[in-house]
Amino acid sequence: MNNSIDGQEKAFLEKVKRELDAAADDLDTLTLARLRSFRMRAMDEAERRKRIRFIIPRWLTAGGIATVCAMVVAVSIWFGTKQNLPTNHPEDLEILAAQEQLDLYKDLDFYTWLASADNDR
Amino acid sequence: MKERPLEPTEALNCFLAAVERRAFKMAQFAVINSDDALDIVQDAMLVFVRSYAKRPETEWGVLFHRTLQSRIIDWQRRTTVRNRFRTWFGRADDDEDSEDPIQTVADTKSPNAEELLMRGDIAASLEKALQVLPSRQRQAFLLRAWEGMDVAQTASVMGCSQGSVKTHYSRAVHALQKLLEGLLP
Repeated sequence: MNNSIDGQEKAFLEKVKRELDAAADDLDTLTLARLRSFRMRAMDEAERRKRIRFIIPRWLTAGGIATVCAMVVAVSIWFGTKQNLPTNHPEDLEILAAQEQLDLYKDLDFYTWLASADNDR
Repeated sequence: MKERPLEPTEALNCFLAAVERRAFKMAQFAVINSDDALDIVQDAMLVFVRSYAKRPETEWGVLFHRTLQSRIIDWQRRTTVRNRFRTWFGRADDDEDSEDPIQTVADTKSPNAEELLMRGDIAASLEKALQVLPSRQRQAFLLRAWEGMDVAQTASVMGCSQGSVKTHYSRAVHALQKLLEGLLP
């Protein structure tokens, strides 16, 4: 009984497969032409990628990117620390190191004038 | 004499040529519209070449079908969202693109058409039956019965367990047997 059901199912599947194959074989010319053009485009893409891989080997790109990253980090650390130090103007360093409010230094001219006015009086 | 192995690009071309028709039909069963099905196949080919061309040839079948099924699911999601927007904006009844019902009526008066009609009926009914199947059942059925993939490969393509594949496949076979009872005994 089970065998006959399996046999029926197998026969049914065979027929379905045949019909599906026939449907795939009977595609119209326009559809076939479009499928072919898509395949050609995909092959062009494959060729292009192959050429790029040939020109720049993967190990080189990986190594190159790593080297460039390391150099960028090294240069930014080196120049960053050197330029941030106000070594040319020691008085600025004094201001930056002081605990006073920066507003005081913005209005320094006013306070200087006030002190000199007091002295004159 | 020993056969010369194919160049990788040549092998890829042969592989795509062998699967393109069936891929198109699979996409067409899922989305119905031929232009949409062609777009899906084109996308699948390009994505496959970009992502998997370097993989061993033995894996190509599974990888190509995984790409194809993923494109089909993407299309179905996009269409669902688009239809939702069309419903919100009151364009659900816009049926300019729908098929003329006259075109779907079979021409039974043509001479010597009996055999062709019979043949056409089977193909059309099978196509219709596959279109009405739930998409997971259709996927499982086409991959197993048409592509000849085993349960493990089908599960890999569908991204589900082998048990689910067996369930979907069995339901699809029974549904199709019922739908095509008179035509494919």
